[in-house]
Amino acid sequence: MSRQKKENIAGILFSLPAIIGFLAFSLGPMVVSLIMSFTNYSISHATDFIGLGNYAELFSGQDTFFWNSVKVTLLFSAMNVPVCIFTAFLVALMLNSKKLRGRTFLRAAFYIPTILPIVATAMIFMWIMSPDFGLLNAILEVFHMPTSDWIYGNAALPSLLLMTAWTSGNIMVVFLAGLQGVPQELYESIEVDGGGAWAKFWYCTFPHMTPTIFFNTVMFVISSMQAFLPAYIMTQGGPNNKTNFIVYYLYRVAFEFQNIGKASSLGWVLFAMILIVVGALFWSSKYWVFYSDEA
Amino acid sequence: MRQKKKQRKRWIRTFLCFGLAVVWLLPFYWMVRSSLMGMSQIFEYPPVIFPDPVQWENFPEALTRLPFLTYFKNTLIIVVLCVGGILISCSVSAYGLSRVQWKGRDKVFYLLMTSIMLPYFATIIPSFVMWTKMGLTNTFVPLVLPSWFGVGTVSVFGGGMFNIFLLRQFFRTIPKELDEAARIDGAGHFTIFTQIILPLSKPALICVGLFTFLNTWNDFINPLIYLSDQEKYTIQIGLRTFIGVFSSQWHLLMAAAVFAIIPVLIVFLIGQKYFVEGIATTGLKG
Amino acid sequence: MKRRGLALLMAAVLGILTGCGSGGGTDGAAAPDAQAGGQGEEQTGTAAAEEEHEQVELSFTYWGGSYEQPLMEKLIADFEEAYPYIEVDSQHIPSDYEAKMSAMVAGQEEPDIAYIRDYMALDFAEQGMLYNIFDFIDQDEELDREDFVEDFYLYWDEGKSYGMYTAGESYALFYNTEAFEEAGVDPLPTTVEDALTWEELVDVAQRLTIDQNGNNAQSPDFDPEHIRQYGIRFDFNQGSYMPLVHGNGGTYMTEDGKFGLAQEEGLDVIEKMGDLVTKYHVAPSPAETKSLPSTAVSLTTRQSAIIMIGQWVLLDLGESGVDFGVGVLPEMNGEYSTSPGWGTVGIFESTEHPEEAWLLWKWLADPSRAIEAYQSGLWMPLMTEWYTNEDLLNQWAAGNIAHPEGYKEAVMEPALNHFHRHPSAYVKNFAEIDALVTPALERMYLGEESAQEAMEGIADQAETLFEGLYE
Repeated sequence: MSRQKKENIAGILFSLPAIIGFLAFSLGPMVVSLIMSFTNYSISHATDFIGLGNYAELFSGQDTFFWNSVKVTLLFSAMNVPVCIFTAFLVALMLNSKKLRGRTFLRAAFYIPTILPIVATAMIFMWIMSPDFGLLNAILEVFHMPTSDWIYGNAALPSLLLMTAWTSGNIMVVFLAGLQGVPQELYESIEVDGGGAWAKFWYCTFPHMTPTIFFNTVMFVISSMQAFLPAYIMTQGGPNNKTNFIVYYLYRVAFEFQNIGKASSLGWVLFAMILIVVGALFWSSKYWVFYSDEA
Repeated sequence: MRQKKKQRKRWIRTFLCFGLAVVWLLPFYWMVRSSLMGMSQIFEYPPVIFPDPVQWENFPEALTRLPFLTYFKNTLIIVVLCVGGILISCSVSAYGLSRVQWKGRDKVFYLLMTSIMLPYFATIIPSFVMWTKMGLTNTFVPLVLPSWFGVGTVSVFGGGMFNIFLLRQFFRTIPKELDEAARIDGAGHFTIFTQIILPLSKPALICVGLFTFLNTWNDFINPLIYLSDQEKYTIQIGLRTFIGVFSSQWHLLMAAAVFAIIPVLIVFLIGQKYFVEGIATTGLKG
Repeated sequence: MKRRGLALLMAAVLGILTGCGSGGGTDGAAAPDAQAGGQGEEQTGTAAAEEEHEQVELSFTYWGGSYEQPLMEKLIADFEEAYPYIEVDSQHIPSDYEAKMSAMVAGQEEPDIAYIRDYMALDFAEQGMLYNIFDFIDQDEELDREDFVEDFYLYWDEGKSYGMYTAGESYALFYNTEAFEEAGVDPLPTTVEDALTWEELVDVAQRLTIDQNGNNAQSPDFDPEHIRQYGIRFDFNQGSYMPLVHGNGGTYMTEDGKFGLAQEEGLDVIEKMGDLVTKYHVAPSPAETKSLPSTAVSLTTRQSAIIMIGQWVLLDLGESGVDFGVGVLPEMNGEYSTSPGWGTVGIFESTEHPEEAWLLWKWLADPSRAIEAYQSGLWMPLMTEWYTNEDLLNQWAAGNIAHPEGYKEAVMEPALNHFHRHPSAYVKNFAEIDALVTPALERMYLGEESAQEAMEGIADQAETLFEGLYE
């Protein structure tokens, strides 16, 4: 057997768990939901194939909520991804310092928000952002700053960022793990060459972190575009549909309107949107992500 | 002189970090505070900063109103089985998808990635039907078995492909020369995987374990959908019970929530040490 | 394709893809049998008394908070004791009820008997998935149709009822006595005849709305930006506006498919309620309301002086120990009207044990089985006798903290004589129409549109979605 053949077999064998998992648990429901998206399936009614009917209803604007939900989802992702990635990266850099006092406490402090059950977190933020009785406005008033209706008014979408940034501990932990792989010797050699903190970051930390940054960006783009819980628990898509994310709308179409066929088509529209964005990210990664196994 | 300046800088930084941490912990404090109050005090205005009187009895009341011990046990079984499954299946698969050169590897990887691009609620009905046909609903199998094949729970961030992708990224930052040196010594893929790649990826593996623990622990929708026997319910389902349509016990919800985060916090505190110690001892030389 | 057609198609696709179609199915089918057999053996000792009955397993799902859950479990344990041959697999589903129900129905694993939201039950019933409750009642030797309050039946067609409300329910006003005394406002009237006019209600609400400096909403120094206590609080769903719309002679959708909230009577109410928030600043906006997590608590902490809500709030008010009173809804231009919640108990056609399911249904509807739930104020009886028989009535509606003076006139009497079902119980496609109404109301409360613009702006769409009604 040639070496390449052996490698082919080894590669497939190693990847087998994930491949079996995909075929056994993911592919079936995906195919069924694709088929359902071409029907008017609902759990209680007779089902018919209606071709592209669901998609036509969405794209033609006959569905009142669809285009708004696309806009809201994209807008939210466009704000959420950079804000959270940036915050988490800064916090991780700060917490990675070997000389920092009370590091264990600080790491726990920044991670605790992420481990709280979402119902409790959402409730806390709903009180904190209460326009009349909330802590946030109370503090702003003390400093004579303008108050806001937060998630309950026109600023609903950006206000949600306060909560998502607060719970971005998982991204931070991935960054922290990534930072452990940055070779210390490089820092020393930069120091010998008289480079400062900025040089260390730009010529050493950043390039070594690009695979981690890339990873976090891809994953967070996917999860932001699938945002659901903040709308479900806190805003119910309101006010005036300002937080009616695609997945939240999908949930309502499926389980409130009892129209699972149309909900499936919404799911596949989102799938296509995510595929395009993530595909573009993977394509761009060739130009800015550096892997040690390629050098 | 320079030493002194450095010293001062360090103090400033520590101070800043702690200041930021206090702000960060404020909502959490609000939750702990609420867990020790009577329900009407929680919502008083102006806000009450310190509970008065401190209602410790919220904790025993919250934890005895529902069979939380059973819920705790069920959750722990599911979590342990999932963490084990994910750690093994995802690290093996990630190795195959990154360190082995085989035909079609990247295409397979991209195909696998598509499984997390379709939102959970678009496939929940077919998934449920699938498990029903296999006669496995109302068991832990639908909650646990997929994790042994690199398929995770509802959350994209911390689900199955998330872990495989994460490990793949980390494996790829390990220099190729290490494999090649081992290969010359006659090592096969299995040896390289267990002796070189895994030890060097401790922080990433800790991440994977932690996220899986956290996600499974906090998962609400999967247990709710797949389990129909209340004896099999998990902690998160118990928490939701405090929020009723007609009446909600916020103080009890907060007490139970504070209780529910303790195991995750312990796992995190143990795991985070390895971010410091993990790599330092391996002597990674480029 | 029939309803089950797609389920079969799904099964086929999944079977091909996973390579475990029918093989796995038989395994699954075998498991419960084995289980049932095991329990049968255990029970041989006690089963001797009921030889004629086979051991039956009944599944039942319900919702509710941490008060109802233990209560319901006790109710069911008592039921199992009374009928030893029936074992009830009860399942409490605290949230995402519709999602779980959809999954169960799609997987053909629906329970035998279940709590169901009225709009979902209406749809199920029309598709022949639920029993007509009258079929059971008419055959039952102990009960007649008249034993239940006529208005609490939910219909999908002439003589066809998919069930009753989960309990009797009724909207009214509840107020904080202390807040009234401090503002020097008379207690709210408790009889329909004495109901406040809208202008009087606005006046009362203004005097009860206090800003941070202690000025009320009639004072020239009133600061609407910093309100400490709102005069009146209501929710923004059908529950709060529909009793008033009905009381104004309006409706949600007319028989011939006109959108009722854009008609004169409906629009009038929507406009008035909007004014309470945007013009008089005496009621919290949807924003403020959402951030105050519990209506009852906001009354206890005096963030609102009056709340307009269903009588189930008595449970929380009673437990909180606050000094509170009850009053009737304001008088509109038509006949007084109150409304219930929006849940029902239905029996699925697919059940193999309809008779046992009916026994459980009756058990749940019998107040004597869980009298504490009625005493707590959470539920009101469905059975006529519990209102008309003084002895039975006093068992729950008097002598306890949750039923203050005036309760019978202000809450109970209207439920019996001025009752009007919510549109979700009889307007087909309600969920989709409501999805238009909610954001439109939010636009009005945010001050972006007038009531007329908001309601007329969605009238066409609502009328297109309309598929008929059966009241």
